[in-house]
Amino acid sequence: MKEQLIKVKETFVEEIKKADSSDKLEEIRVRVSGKKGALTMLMRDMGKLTKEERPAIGKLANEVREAIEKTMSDQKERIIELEYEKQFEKEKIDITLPGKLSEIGSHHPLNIVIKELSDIFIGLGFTVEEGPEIEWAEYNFDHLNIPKDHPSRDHQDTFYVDDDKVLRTQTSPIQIRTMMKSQTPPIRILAPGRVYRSDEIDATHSPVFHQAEGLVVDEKITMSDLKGTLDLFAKEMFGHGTKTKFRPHQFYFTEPSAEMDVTCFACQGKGCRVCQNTGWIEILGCGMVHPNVLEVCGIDSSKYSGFAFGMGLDRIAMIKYGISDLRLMFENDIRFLKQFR
Amino acid sequence: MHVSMEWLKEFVDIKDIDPVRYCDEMTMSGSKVESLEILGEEIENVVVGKIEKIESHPQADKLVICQVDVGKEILQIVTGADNIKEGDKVPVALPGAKLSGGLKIKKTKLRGVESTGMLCSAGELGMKTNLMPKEDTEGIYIFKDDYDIGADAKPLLGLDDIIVEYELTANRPDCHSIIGMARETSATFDRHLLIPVVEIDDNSGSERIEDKLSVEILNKQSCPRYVARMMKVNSMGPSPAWMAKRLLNCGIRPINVIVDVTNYVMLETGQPLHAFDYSKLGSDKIVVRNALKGEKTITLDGNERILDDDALVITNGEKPVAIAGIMGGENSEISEDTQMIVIESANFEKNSVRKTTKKLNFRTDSSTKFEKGIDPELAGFAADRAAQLLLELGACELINGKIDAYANKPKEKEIIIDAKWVNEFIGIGIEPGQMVEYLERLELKSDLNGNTITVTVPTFRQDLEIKEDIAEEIARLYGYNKIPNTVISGTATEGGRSQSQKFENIVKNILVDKNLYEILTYSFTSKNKLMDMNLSEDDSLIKDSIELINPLGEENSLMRTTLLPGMLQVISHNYNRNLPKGAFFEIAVSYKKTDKKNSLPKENKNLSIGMYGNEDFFSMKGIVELILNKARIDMQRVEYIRSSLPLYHPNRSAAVLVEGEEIGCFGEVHPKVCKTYDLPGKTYCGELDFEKIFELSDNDIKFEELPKYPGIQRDLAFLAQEDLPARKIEDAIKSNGGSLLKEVELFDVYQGTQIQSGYKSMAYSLYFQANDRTLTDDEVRKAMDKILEKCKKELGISLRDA
Repeated sequence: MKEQLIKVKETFVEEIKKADSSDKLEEIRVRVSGKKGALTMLMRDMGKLTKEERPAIGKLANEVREAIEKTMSDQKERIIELEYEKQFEKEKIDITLPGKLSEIGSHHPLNIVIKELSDIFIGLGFTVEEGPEIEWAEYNFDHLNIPKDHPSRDHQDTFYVDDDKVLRTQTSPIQIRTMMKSQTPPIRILAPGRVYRSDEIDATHSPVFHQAEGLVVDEKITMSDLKGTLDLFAKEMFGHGTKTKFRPHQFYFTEPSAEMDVTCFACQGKGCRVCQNTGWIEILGCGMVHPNVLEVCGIDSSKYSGFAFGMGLDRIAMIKYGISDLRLMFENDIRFLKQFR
Repeated sequence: MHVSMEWLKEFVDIKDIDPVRYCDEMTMSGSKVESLEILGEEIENVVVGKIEKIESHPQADKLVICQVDVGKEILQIVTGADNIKEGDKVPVALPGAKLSGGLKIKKTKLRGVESTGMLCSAGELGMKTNLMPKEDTEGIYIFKDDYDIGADAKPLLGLDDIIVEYELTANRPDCHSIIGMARETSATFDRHLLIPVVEIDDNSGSERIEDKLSVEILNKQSCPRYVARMMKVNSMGPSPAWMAKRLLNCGIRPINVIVDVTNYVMLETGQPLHAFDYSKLGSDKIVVRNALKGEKTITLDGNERILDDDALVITNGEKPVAIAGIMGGENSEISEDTQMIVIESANFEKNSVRKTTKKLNFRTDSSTKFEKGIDPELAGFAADRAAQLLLELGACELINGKIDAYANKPKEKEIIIDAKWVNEFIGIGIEPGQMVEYLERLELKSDLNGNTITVTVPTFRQDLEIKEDIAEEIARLYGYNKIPNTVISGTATEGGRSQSQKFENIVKNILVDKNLYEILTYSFTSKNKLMDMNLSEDDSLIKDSIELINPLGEENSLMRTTLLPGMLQVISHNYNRNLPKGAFFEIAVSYKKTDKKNSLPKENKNLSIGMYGNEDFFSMKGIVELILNKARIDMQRVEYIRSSLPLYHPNRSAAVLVEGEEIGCFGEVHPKVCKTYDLPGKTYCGELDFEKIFELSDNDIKFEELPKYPGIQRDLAFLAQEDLPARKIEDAIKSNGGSLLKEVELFDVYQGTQIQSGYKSMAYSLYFQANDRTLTDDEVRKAMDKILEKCKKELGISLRDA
């Protein structure tokens, strides 16, 4: 009996280890421990043993059973792994083929710039305002303190719808609208939008272009606030190492007035083609709101002061992305647009 | 404005200041430097040489051999020039010299004859040959003055100067002169300003001007002042080299001493002058009046000018002898035999001059200055300065006295400022005394009393009117960049985008995610472009359009009433560049007339969409539905009906209605339009009223509990007449499905051999559910039966396999 048990163990352990499929394993299992399995039969014969023989043989039989079962379950796991391997081999794919997600389009570079700009000023407590593109000449010029005889009002510079209405030449009339609407400061607005000037289309000119206007009015607003705010903006927009420079300038609706240059973001101020070797790029015009402008909008200029700024967005987008020709911005060639994904 | 630094240094001592630093500091104090040109920068080792001997070249007819004395030695130089003679003094490039364009001069042999150096032309020396007389630019340049042999030629040729180009602002006409910029330089660097002292002894001449000339101004508004001086002419030769050189370097062509002096004084002081030939005046009076309508005169350049009655003219009492401030007349032009001249130094009002230059489309150096506005105080000084120069140069003799018709002498303004306010307004803290010092540097007389500064504004500073102007003067001399950077103090404000701006960004983002490109097109269109969209002339898109008075051409003459012409042009552009497909969108404004009086046109934000290449009607409709879904507009509120817009294929286009209100149209572009716009055959486009969509949108999200009980799904397929709209079947299912029917989805449409022709199979998946219990098959069967019964009754359709 003992020999038989050992033999069963040896034979079947060997056989199980050779099994290479779950079916084969099942077939072996039936032959060992099925109803007529070799081990089942032997166990059945245990009853025939003497009382003395029984414990030792019983123990051995259990060991044999456990050994076979252990081998069986080990082999089962091995076979599962093997079968997975076979399956995986069959399911091989070329992982360098492109993914199934559809392509995405892009935002227009100009609107990317508008969004960035707006987000920066929203963070400083500004609201984003809009205004009509066909505007009262009065709002576009007179209320902004622009002299009655100023050449910019000429038909060769400004598009007219009739004597009183123009295509706004700047986003500045939105300042006027905002102040007239809310005569009690604080006011902090950013107004991006389309503007028009009668220029023939070429690489740097377009009759339709874009500006953003900013306005802050409150008690005790100073020129140092103007500088601080715009310096912060420049660092956010063009990189934290950006330096700013304010040069005196003249605008009718601000006094004092300035132009702000930033260190060239192409060369970090070292001098390159983009900045024409100056290291600086002119970005915006700004100044303290002229008291005439505050007064015409019904704001008490002895109590309140403010600052305003305006910048050309097409130019900023062109410099930022290195776009060589303004016409590309309005041509909408897919090969151009794609690059701003 | 080009300024010769050599000239400027006559009035302010800045010899020790490096040109680059000069330009930087001038820019920072408010006079923006555009460019800095160092004349003769490339030129080295060119000296004055005297041609001692000219011999012919043994091997070449066209060359000559010159012996040239350059001081230290006699050089043998071979040249091809034929304008030289023995005794001429010429610029000589010594061996090792550098000339314009990087040319280097070496000792060489020309046809076997040794040549040590080169005789130079004006062009080779980089001189402004375009402004020089022909005889000075052709062949070798010959010095007119007797310079020392061997002397450095550069300063003698005006090639030792630095030209600074300023971009000046419109409010500072006083800066458009050498003295004006010297004043700014003096203030910037805190250096003393040396204004030339001009004193004419009006008893030193012979006759008196009053006996020869009278001046009458009939339009004192346009001509506030007219100063005249007269002089007898001694010689009309060229002006001296130093003067010609300065004129050239400032871009003005030297002509003769009298013309040159008038130009010289104009550059120096900013006051344009004109010289008449007294004998040609034809009278003893000057009358300044408006031209007669249609009055003709021939200007110095030989062109006839036809004037309007708002043009101002200088007349001899009868006919014009000059157009005021613009150009003199040919009839009174000075010439070689002029004996006596009248120098006009007048002030003309800027708008009057500007109107006339615009009407005549004719600008001169003089009119450009007048258009900017000139201080009337300048006229007297400039007339005297011209007389002084002409006397000093020996070109003229004085006629005693000057006529000065000066009606309204401008008064000096006073502006009172509080130093404390200046510090608060700018955000700095400087002493009142320091402010006064800055102002005085600018020749603004300032009296300090405590914190109060009383500023007297000279007439040449017409731009200074209010206290903020004075604050700017202080701030710019203090230095804008020394003002600290601070954050805005005061009340906190809540910034951000409006709901509609946020919605716009959301829609743009999903369209970009769906492979659409955002485009930007012009706001202009034209009647032709609209007609090309197959619109009739009385279509509201044409009738309601706004016309520009002064458009850039017919094709840009209207403000667009629709974004679609721009969209179609973009599709055409890309299609014609062999780009096989594309989808685009734009959110922008359209413009329409309104009936309302005293109101601006109606501007409406629209959304246009366009696509081509492998697309169909339903790709387009999918995008529309996507937007409506994003706006959370319930599809039950939306209806699609046939669009009547002739732009589209009549059976493949739709108008979108939300609760009966049209919010836009879309569809396949009509083949005719594809032809006119040069579009591919299957182009789709659409335009939606973005503002209406926003108004209809609902961003109020409320959570609903998830269902606790399982639902039951049933599929069914109807056989329906092929022209029965799917929407009708869906509506019939929904309206008869009862409260248990939660969802209906069309999952298959089939037409083909399996079913009879003229019919289609429409397969729906229906989902039933109750919130309070698990449904029984029986309940669902009842609901399904009702649906089938009603669909048969209402639409005449039944199950496909029934």
